[in-house]
Amino acid sequence: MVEPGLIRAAQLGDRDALITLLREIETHVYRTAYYILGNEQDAMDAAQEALIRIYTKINSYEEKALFKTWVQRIVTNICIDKFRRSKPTVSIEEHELVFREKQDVEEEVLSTYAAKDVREAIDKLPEHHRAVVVLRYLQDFSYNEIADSLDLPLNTVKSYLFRARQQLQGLLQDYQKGGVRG
Amino acid sequence: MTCQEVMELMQRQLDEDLDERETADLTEHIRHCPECEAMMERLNRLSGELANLPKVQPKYSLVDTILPQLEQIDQMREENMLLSQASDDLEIEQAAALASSTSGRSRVERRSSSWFERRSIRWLSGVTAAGLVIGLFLFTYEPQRFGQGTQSFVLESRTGGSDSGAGDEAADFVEPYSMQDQMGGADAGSTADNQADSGNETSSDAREERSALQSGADEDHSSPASPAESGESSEGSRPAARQDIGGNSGSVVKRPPAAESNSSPGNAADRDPSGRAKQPAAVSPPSSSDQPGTDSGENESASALNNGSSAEANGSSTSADNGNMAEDNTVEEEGIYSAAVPENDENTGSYGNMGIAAESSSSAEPEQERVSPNAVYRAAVTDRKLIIVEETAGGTVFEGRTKNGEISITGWTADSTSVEYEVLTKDGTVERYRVDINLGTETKI
Repeated sequence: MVEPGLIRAAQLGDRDALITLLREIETHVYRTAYYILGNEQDAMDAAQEALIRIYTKINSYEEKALFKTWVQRIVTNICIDKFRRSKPTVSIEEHELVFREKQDVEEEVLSTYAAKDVREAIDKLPEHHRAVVVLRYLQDFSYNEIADSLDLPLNTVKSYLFRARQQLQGLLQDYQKGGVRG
Repeated sequence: MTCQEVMELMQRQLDEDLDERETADLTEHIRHCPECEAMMERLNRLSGELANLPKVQPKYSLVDTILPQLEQIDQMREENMLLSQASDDLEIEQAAALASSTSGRSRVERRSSSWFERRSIRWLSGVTAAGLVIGLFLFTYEPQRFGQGTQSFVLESRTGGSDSGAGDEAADFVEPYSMQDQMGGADAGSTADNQADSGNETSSDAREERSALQSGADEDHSSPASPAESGESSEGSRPAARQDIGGNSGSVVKRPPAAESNSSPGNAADRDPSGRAKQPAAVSPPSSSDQPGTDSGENESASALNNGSSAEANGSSTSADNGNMAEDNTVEEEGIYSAAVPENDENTGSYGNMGIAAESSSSAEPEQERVSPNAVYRAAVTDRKLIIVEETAGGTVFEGRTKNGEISITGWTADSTSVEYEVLTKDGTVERYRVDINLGTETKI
């Protein structure tokens, strides 16, 4: 994602290198923020905050970690903070989801879900589940990379991801039915 | 294999986390379990959808947007670097001429004033003790021995005073101080007559002793150098405080000179030529030698008091200006310098200002303006917005969003990196915000 030489130069005080580096990662940073926060304005704010933090803390990055996971850790932390502040109690009851996903098993929906539905469904996930999904699918991170980014144990990452997907497919199935019924 | 177990395999299969055997198990199960097959299909589709989510991009370059903020951060860093360098230097050599920047100075100032406070308490108790001892010896010693005793006092105080005046390390003060303290006690007997004053006036001692002392410090300065020079140095903020303290430490010793002028004018004459004619403090002693001991003591201390307070004023005005330690300084002032009368001395001018500044910042300060603890920034409310400006340069560091209500600033964090404020909205709710200076952001808390 980012050349190690560029990172080192930035850490040694090369301001241009640091700015170049920020330009290289800004889209990734924004994308994560966008899918965690669910709207453009908040995503812009959070991504800018993250970039500023990366700018000021570049020297605290150590090469033993992947740079991309370090960056994503910063963004997700900022997003989760923001998210908690703006939407304190958005979380779906899991038993409800389980109930939904078990019903109408035979009712297969062949059409694909609209991307909008997927985004809305993601918005309904609890914050950490959401972050895991975003890192897995928008940043193409492995379990381990997600674990590093979110500072979670590997098993927790898996369980969040699996539960999130279960919840998502339940939600989407629901949307689909809603769509069919008008 | 249960459907629950298969669920995990299905999930891991989506992440390509299955080995061959697990894949086979999964395929086998799905072949016989339509429910799981359906679920597998839905999950696969979901996973595909997730992977194909639009790769959104910011509408405009975020880096370009934050470039001004990044530049500000760089500037602040440079300033901070200068500051820390400045204060390091000061720590290494206390006598170093002056902090080039305001907050470097205020930081050091704060240290010295709290140090001074601690010392002054000990000093006061030392004075009281000395007073008691003196009272005991009051009538038991022969007056004629006094002259000799004083002589040694003078010498002692000169060394002590000039040492400290030169701005040596704090440790240097401690020694002369305790030494002199002991001497004050031991020799008290020999200076029977004039010590009567101090014995009786223990309560008011703090001020008088201190001021007498201060005059001592002034003299000490004026003998090796010119009085004008000592005045300048006291204005120079950092050494001023030191000098002040140095003066303090010599206090017990310095008291005798007042008496000395009584009983053995010869000694007083020894000292006089050095600087008396040139300084206000110096004016009184010659006349005092004609007067009864008590008077001369008062005179000297009164004039010396001005010197003392002006020296101190530099110390505290610096910090009062910065909004730092305002309370501490005020307390200090009231405790010790309340009687100081500003004169046409340029130093006292600053003292007067300082008094006002300290007062306003400690008590009647409006909530709408706060200076950061490191005195670099000032947060103020304008047009229902919080604005932070640099205290010295005056440039706007941060401008908050307009709030729908009345803003009151809660305060700065101790590290001066963020300021918190509350907004009392029209519907009566209170919203709290925190502004992070380094990030240039404000967030609701």
